Amino acid sequence: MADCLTARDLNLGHVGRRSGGFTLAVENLHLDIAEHEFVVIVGPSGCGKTTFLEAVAGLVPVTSGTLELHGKQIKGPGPERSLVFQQASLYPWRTVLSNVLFGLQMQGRLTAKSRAHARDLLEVAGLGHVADKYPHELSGGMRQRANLARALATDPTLLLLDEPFSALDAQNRELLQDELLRIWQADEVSAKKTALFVTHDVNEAVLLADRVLVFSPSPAKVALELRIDAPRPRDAVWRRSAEFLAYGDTILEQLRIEALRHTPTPLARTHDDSDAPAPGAHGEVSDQERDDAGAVRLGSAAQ
Amino acid sequence: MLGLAGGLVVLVIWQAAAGFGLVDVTFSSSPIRTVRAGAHLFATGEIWSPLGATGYELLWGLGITFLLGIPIGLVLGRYKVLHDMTEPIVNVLYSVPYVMFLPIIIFWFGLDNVSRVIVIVWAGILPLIINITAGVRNLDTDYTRVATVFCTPRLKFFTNIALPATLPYILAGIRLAVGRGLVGAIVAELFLASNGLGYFVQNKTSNFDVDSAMAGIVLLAAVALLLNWAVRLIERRFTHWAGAK
Ligand SMILES: Nc1ncnc2c1ncn2[C@@H]1O[C@H](COP(=O)(O)OP(=O)(O)O)[C@@H](O)[C@H]1O
Ligand SMILES: [Mg+2]
Repeated sequence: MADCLTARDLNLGHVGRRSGGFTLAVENLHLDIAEHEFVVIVGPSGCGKTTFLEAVAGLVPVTSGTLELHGKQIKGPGPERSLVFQQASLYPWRTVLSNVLFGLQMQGRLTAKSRAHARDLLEVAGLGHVADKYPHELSGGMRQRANLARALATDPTLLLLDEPFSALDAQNRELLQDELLRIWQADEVSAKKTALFVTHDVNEAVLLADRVLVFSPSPAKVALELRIDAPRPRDAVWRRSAEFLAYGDTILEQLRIEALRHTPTPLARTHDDSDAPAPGAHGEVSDQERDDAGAVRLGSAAQ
Repeated sequence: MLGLAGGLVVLVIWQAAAGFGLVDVTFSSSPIRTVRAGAHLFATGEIWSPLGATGYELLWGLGITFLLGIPIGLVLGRYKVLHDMTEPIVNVLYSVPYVMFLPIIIFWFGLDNVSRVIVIVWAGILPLIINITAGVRNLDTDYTRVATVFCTPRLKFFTNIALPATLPYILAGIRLAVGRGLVGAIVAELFLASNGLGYFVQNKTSNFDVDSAMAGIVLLAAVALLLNWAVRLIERRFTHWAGAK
């Protein structure tokens, strides 16, 4: 299958707003994403997932290396890509429908046909009855649906999603995960979209992905690649199966190895369970990592 | 409601003081005499010329203020280089009382309407620009990120994001501009002494017709309240989403 996205020796970073210093967030990244593939990136908080996704979206400039979309270096945003933001980021002065039409309007592609498509998306996302309401009148889950519908309305070939469900309660999260899969599979306007989904929730990754990429703590590299060979649509039964849990355990194991590898001093390693912060920036990152992994582990054990 | 009651108390004290001869009505008038004088001014039609003149100046002055001030404020807020270049000038012009420039304005533009409109614009446009600039600079980064991802062209960014997002700032600035513009209009009339409510009040006072002068002042207050009310109406209609994010 043809490659949609390619990264070679990719370095990304941020210039600090106050200090002016440069911090590397993604280092020597290699990856390929095939057309129509659903790829999920899992990594601890602060490892550089958002930075990578925003570079693909054209929001963060490439520091060095190659980041190609359909064989062309990414230099900025483009109408063939859409980003579903971590925060819903809807415009509060626009109605839900008008927010969903935003991309089409800005790109001068608002036609009767595209408008009808947006209307359909609202219906599919369960927002048909609130199309004329304002974002502040919506629940968190509904706002995130609108966020998703806005990204889909421009009919992108590559859909980027940055922890879109992380701020939702567990119930809403499962609901929206199912809906995302349903929308993604049922897309008729064009062929199935390529999706790049970022999360720190291991279960979410296994549920959604064709392929999971585990990122190491900052600066991010691909530490493990895992193909999820499970038929779609994936139902609640599969979500509780031993196979599902085994995939999750593999990812968690890799996350733990990475966390330990990035713990800077033996001292910090021996005091794994103490609350004392490990010295240095890396220590902080891996502390966070351990928390994340632990929380997820508890979550899957409870099921 | 309490404000209304307070105003009423003042009026009663004023009327009582005049009625009991505590103050000389020749110099202080009284609420009843003011109302009577006002009615007379409308009945004879004497008031229309100064009221019309002031209204005409304000219409032009405030119109130009909004038409220039809003785009200038938006652009200065968006482009850091322009902002840093103009900030000191804007602040100096805002800090120096514009009355100081009146003689120069008269020197350049003469004694007619043009000068008075310029004074109104001068008085009102700076707080408007400063407010809008601050609003755009505080623009939620999420708004700009969404705009960037969906490939928003420059002009559409101003009309579709910067303008609505800063509307609360713009309207607050407009309220300031209206207040200062009104003062500017009156000051210009006092200085240029030809027509308008300011000139009318000054003229009546120097002719010891304090009743008519008071009526003129009340009318001026009514104009100010009306303008303020109009802005508030727009605020309520268009910024209902603000604060309830
Ligand atoms: N705008 C920014 N300016 C400076 N540093 C940043 C900025 N955004 C993120 N970073 C840093 O880059 C690293 C990666 O952040 P991010 O990509 O947001 O991680 P993640 O999404 O995986 O949580 C972190 O160390 C973070 O502190
Ligand atoms: Mg993130």
